[in-house]
Formats: sequence, structure tokens, C-alpha cells
Amino acid sequence: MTHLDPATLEALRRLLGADRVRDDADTLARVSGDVTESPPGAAAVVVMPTTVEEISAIVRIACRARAPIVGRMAGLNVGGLTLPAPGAIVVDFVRMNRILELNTEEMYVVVEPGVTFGQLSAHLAAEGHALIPSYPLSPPTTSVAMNCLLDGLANLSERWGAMGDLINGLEVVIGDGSVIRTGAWAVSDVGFSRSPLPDLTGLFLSWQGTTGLVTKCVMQLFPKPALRRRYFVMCHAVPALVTAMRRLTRRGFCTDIGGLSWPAARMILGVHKPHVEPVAGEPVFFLYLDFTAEDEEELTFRERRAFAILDAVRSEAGGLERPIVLDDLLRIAPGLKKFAEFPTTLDFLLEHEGKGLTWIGTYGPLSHLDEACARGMEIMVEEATPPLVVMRPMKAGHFSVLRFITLFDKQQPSDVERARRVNVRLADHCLDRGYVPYKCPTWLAPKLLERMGEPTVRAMRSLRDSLDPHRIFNPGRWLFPGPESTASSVTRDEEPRTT
Amino acid sequence: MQPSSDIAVRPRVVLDDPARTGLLALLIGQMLDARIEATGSEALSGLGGVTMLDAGGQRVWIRVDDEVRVGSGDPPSAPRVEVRAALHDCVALATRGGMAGAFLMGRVRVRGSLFGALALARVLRS
Repeated sequence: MTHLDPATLEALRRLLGADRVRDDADTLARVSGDVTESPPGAAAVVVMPTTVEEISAIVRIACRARAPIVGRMAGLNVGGLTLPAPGAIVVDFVRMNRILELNTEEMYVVVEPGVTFGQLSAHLAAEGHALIPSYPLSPPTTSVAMNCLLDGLANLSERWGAMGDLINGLEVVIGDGSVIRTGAWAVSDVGFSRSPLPDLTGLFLSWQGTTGLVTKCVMQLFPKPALRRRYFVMCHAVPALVTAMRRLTRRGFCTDIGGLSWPAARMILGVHKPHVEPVAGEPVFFLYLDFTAEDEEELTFRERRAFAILDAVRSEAGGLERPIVLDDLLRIAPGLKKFAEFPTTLDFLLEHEGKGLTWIGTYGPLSHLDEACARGMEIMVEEATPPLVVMRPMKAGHFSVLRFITLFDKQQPSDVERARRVNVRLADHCLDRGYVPYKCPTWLAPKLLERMGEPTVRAMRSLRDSLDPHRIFNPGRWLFPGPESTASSVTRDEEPRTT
Repeated sequence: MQPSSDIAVRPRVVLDDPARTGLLALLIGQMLDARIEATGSEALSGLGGVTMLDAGGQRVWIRVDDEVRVGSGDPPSAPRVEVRAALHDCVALATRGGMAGAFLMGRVRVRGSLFGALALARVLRS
């Protein structure tokens, strides 16, 4: 089914008005595809609600029609997670973009799903609040709530963990159209924490929109530091880089620690298609270190202690250059200005001719990071793909991020096939080393479910069915069946071929 | 084409092979672009011919004739001057100067034309 029955369309139009119910070809094409190698979906209609009451009504209409329903914002999750099942009602949250509460004492904000990071940052700056969000390396159009719900990472993740950890509470419309709240917010006017109630928030975190439509998100904010300074350290050996990361993150002198492989550096400087091998002598990674403090004395103290750690690693293992302050690099190469801006966005990933972007992004043990990274880079080179890698410690070193990014030309079938092939190999490689994909693409879900084992999968399905008895929410993700479907006929992306 | 230090140079920087141009060469290419934009061909005065820079093992060459060509690795012809230093010393020279002192202290090594080395230091520093 790729079309809704006329009665359902009419019900949606009665509810929202014709201008907020779109089924023209351009709109449907816009929401049915994304930047990834995944084949496009087939939306039937796009609706743009403005209130939670309207969303409840939409869910009830979808239940009656047994129509799939998927929430969407920028569509940049790079997992193909909002590609709509055939005949789906796409809920575009673009008009639910209110910042509903800013609690400066308890340091949180309540946002609707359409609020973007760019909008939130501008709001905090304009109001002069001394608070900041943890900000992802994503375009400013990225939804705050979606990033939290998909457990992404951001610039404060090195200290505070993945974005899901920053959720204090949620308001969610579940499968019967009713509205629930999670976190302390369920009983208190103040959304201060997820603790100490039974944690229902987890039922909507990384479930990829299969258990409900989140309509409000309470997210932690953090004090805005008075001073910020960024350094780069050129690294010639991955083991030395990972050792430095591990020691630095445990001591807590830095606000952010991240590693970008050499293709990223070249792309930032305007080379969109670097050769797959570095030139002789070129650093394989550059490590960036952010320091923040309330005054220069504190900042200098933090820098000195961190640099002493780097000195120790250099003397033990070599492979690290000395830190270079970003301001100096900017005087040499103004093209690096993008990397000096805060928040930083890696917009070169989206602004290239081929328009295709995909990745295997994983969380895993920091202790395996160097080996997992090195072998992953080899796989990319074997597949004629520049080894573009992002890695960082998370939550003070409790785990790490390892992400392999592939750019490709969406118009070239052979290049799309290359992107699929390298992703399959990288996914197997990461899983074998204990790294677990976040924002798990649908094509990869079977491999994770197989490793989970039947009892865990059964529990997931049971939970989903209890929250969404009609199976209307984003069917196909995690191989969950859709309305009027059985598990064997579930909508799923084609497994990438490995030929 | 005969390299010359006082040749009228077209203010245009070309990467020799962008896909195989290393990070340091890209940085220097951008820096030369900025210098040329600020002061025109005067920025390249004294930098004719091929100049090599080895910064902590990253080798970059700059060839100045009717265009400014920047590349990584082996130079296209014998360099007029080759300058070697650690990467952080190169950055320090570019941002704070002090070529003479760094040379005397052995942190910068020069093979070939000392004038060429000074021209490189000046363009890095300007």
C-alpha cells in the first residue's frame, strides 16, 4: 500500500487543514529519501502538527487506517531510519519547534521535537543565559530531541556520555493515542532527573521511533565556560593516539577530546576526494583537545597537566607531535576557520558533488580502540575508500566512539555499491570486536538481533507491542512488523550485497 | 623555464595533485593564497625556483615561476633550498618569527641558498 484511503486523508485534512497535509510528489519525494545508500521509502502523506493533541489525533487516525507512521525532522540520521514504510504517514515536526521551558537553576531545557541545535544555541545566546547544550558535529538543522533519542554524541560526550544520557524526561504519544511522561517530570513540575522512578525513558531511546512519538524532551544543559581554547596534536601512530586519549580522559583536564583521521583534515581544507593512502610523513590522525575554564590561570593549569600527559606518551611511544594552538594554525591556514567555530560542524560531509553520506558509527570498549580503528582503516583502503574516521573517548573513558565515514556519489550505482560493501565489512569488523552500532541502520539490524539472542529479541517485541499494539510506529526498524503484517513479511531494506 | 627570484609571478596557487596533496602542503597552499591576496606577487619575492620544506617528516615543495605550484613528496626538480625543522618549530616560525635564532640554535637546518631560506621564513611569517 503506497496510498492512504480517501477517508483517512480527509480525516487528516479535517484535523489539520489542507495546508498542513501534503501529498504532492515533491513533498513525498523529499521525505521518502535521504543521504544514505538505503533505497528510498514510499510515504503516502506528510502532516505537520503543531500540538500534542493533534499528534494524538493523528495516531488514532493512523490506528484506524492501520497506516504506518514515522516522525521526521532533518532526516540526517545517516542510518536510513526515517525512510517511510510504504503508505506511511510522515509526521514532519518542523512546526513543533517551541522551546517550552528553560530552567537555569536546574540546568535543563524542555523542547519540542522540531527545535534544532542552531535554534537552541541562538536562543541561549540571545537571552544571555550562561548555559550551553552538548552540541553534535552536525548541521545546525539537526533536531535536539531526535539526536538525544537516537543516542548520538556531541561535544560534551567526552565528559557526560551519549546524548541519551542527557535526557531527564520525555512526553510521548503511544500507540493508543494517549500521552505519557517519563522521568521525575512524571510526578514533579521540575524535570530535574530520570531518577528515581522506574525508567520509562529507555523505552523510547534508540528504539528508532517504533514505540511512540516523542512530543517533548527535557534535556540537560551545562554551564557556559568563560574561556575556551582548542589545540591540535598531529599523530603518526594510532596506538599512541589512543593511549593519549585514554590517559587524558581519565584525568579530566579537557572538555573535549577527539581524533580525526587524515582524510578529514584534507577535506576540511577543500580536497573532497583524497587518495586512499596518506603521503609519506603525513600524520595519520589529528587529535583535537578543547580546554575550558573560568579564568586564564585555571585554563593554563589544565593545559599544562594535559600536555605533561602527552609528553609522557611521546617519550614512551613516540608518534605524537607537540600541541599546536588553533589560533596559530588559523594564521597559517584561514581555511581552518570552520574548525574554530563553536559549535563546530563537519559540513564538508554533506557539501560535496556526490551528495551521498553513510557511516558505520559504533560505541565500544576504549581498550580495543586502536586495533579496531587500524583494521577498519585497512578495510576502507581495500575498498578504495579514503579512511575517514572519527573517534573519541566517551563519559570519561568508560567507552569510546569509532565511526567510519564514507562519501559516495548517489547517482553512480557502482559507487553506491561500494558504499554498501564497505559498510557491510566494517559492520562485521566492528561487531566482532565488541563495537555496537548506534543509530543502527535497518539493513544491519538482523546482525544485532542475532547476537542479542531470542529471549532478548522476544522481550523487545513484547515491549513494542505493548506500547504500539497496532504496530504503526516506524515499522521495519529493528525488524518490527508493521500493521496487518507478520514478522515474516516485515518491511526491511535489502541486505547489502557483498559481491 | 628558468627560475628567478625576481620574476613577475601570477598570483595563483595550484596544488600539484590535489588528491595526493598532504596536510602540510594544503596548509602552506592556503597560507600562500592568503599572502598573495594581501600583498600580490610581492609576497613571493625571493622565492623563485623550487623550495623544499621538511617539517617533522612531512615534505612539501613550492615551485614559483609563472605560477605557484605546491606539492607533497619529492620535488619536480632540484630544490634551490631545503629547510628542515620540527612541525611545531615551523608553526612557531610562521606565527612568531625568529628564523635566525632557530637557525643558530640548530632547530632549523638549511641546505642550499640561505637567501632562499630567509625568503621562505619571510613568507611564512608575513
